[in-house]
Amino acid sequence: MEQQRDQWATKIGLILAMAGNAVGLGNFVRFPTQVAQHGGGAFMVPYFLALFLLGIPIMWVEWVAGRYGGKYGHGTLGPSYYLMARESLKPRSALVMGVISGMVAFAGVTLLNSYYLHLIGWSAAYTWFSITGAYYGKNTGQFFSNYLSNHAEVFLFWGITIVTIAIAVGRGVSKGIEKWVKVMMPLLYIFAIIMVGYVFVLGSPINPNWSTIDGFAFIWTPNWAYLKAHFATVMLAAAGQIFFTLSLGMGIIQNYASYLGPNDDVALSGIATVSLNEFAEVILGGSLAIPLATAYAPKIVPPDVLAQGKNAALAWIGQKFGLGFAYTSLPNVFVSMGQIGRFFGALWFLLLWFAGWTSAIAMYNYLVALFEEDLNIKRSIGTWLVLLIYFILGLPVIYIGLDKYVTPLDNWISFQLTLLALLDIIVAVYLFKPSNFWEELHKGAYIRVPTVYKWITLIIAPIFLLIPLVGTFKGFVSGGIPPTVGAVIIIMFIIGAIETYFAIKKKYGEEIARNEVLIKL
Amino acid sequence: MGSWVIYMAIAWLIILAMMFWSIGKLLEAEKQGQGS
Repeated sequence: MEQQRDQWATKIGLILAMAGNAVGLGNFVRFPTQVAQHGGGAFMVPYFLALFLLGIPIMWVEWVAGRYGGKYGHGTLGPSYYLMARESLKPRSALVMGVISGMVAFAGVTLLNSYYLHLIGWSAAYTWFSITGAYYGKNTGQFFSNYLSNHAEVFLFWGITIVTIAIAVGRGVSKGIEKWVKVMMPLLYIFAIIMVGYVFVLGSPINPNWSTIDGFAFIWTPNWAYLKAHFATVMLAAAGQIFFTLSLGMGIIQNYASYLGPNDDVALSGIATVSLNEFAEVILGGSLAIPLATAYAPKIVPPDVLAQGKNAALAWIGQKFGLGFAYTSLPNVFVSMGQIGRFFGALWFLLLWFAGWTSAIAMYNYLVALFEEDLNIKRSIGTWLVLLIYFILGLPVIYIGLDKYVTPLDNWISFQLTLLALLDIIVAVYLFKPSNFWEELHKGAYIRVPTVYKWITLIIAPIFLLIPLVGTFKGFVSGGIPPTVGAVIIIMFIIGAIETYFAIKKKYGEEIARNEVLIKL
Repeated sequence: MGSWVIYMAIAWLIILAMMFWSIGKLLEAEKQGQGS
């Protein structure tokens, strides 16, 4: 029952699309925010562990699962994971695993994109503010807060963003994404490299005691005391950031990989995607917002906090502005360039907007595929239906705001991505059977994956995932999530569960009713 | 400059090595038409 689906034209086209999907605001906006909020060098230790012990193996698991599902006509998690779980379980039990996985993926993609689309909208707004020089001569922290309180303006730039994404998605996968990413991706990398060079030589632009180099020291000095004191929280933040940045734990990697041919390489492609993204995150993203926030802290942070030192100042910016961290620090560098900075600022934020835009397309596309493949809703109608969902989910971001809505939801997203990564291993490795997984990973592979990674995937990764999940769960349920955020999360889980249940039943209803495998693979 | 420079250099080198190795290998394999 293998099915023919659209496939990627070239391998490098797919890689660029995957990299374009992975390289986004996660690198330049969320990563520095997480570093600042979680003790700088304290965050980087579990971050690197998570990269090698979780990021790479889960990337492989999701590529394998996606390609496997695509072979049978599935681009969404529920039916794919039902099939994989069926290797070890009876159809009804496999249905349960499929529904749980599909539900978490649905909730993840909708909730995450509900505020991610706003970050993209902020980038669009800052492109405009750079052109007009709106933040010149202002306290950039105060400027950002003022912008967020201007609801009409936030609404406008967010609206432009989601409508243009809907139009692009409506045109289809290869046409809509591949050709754009090929042009814009290299541009973003080149511009970011130039910016990093500029940040290194910028030194102390406003106060000799506060330099960009101090920002690098904050990131790269291991802070063991902080890590020990906030172990589970920092672990979850690190694992969550790895998943967020690599687009893992959401179902969208599986969706992309479902367009691969059954014998296309996934092993090397997985590593290539990870390393391209990490270059953008650690080397580029890590060398911009935090060093700049350190150098310009005397302009943004109140004197009493400044007196407590650099770590306290950066933590203050991270807490006060949340995901706005980069938007409060980066504009200063363009101001320092004089009037020409308006041009560079506009170009930078436009590229950032595009980077976020391509990532959002991947998530958007997942939902459209879900309506199209699972529920037989036409692509053109599905596209506008998704737009409606994002419109409704995006409103609380504007009207409830950063502190009470976005930051707690973003913290929850770290938890949820980690949870789906654990489900990835349970279903797509253990229930699918480790030997099948390993064999699938090497089907058409350009490299031989070292056997140690089999054991990392089977044993170390699940433990690494369980520690922060168990350690932080109590905090979430005992008041860590405001009621509005909690209600939205529960609603998305319920809709996701219902949708996935019907999607699986539609194709495999008969065998589920009889609880025996009728459709042989 | 503290020891952080060394940590940063190691981290950057690992990532750069990983990136150049994987992209190089991918292009090479693509050229030779391996895999599928």
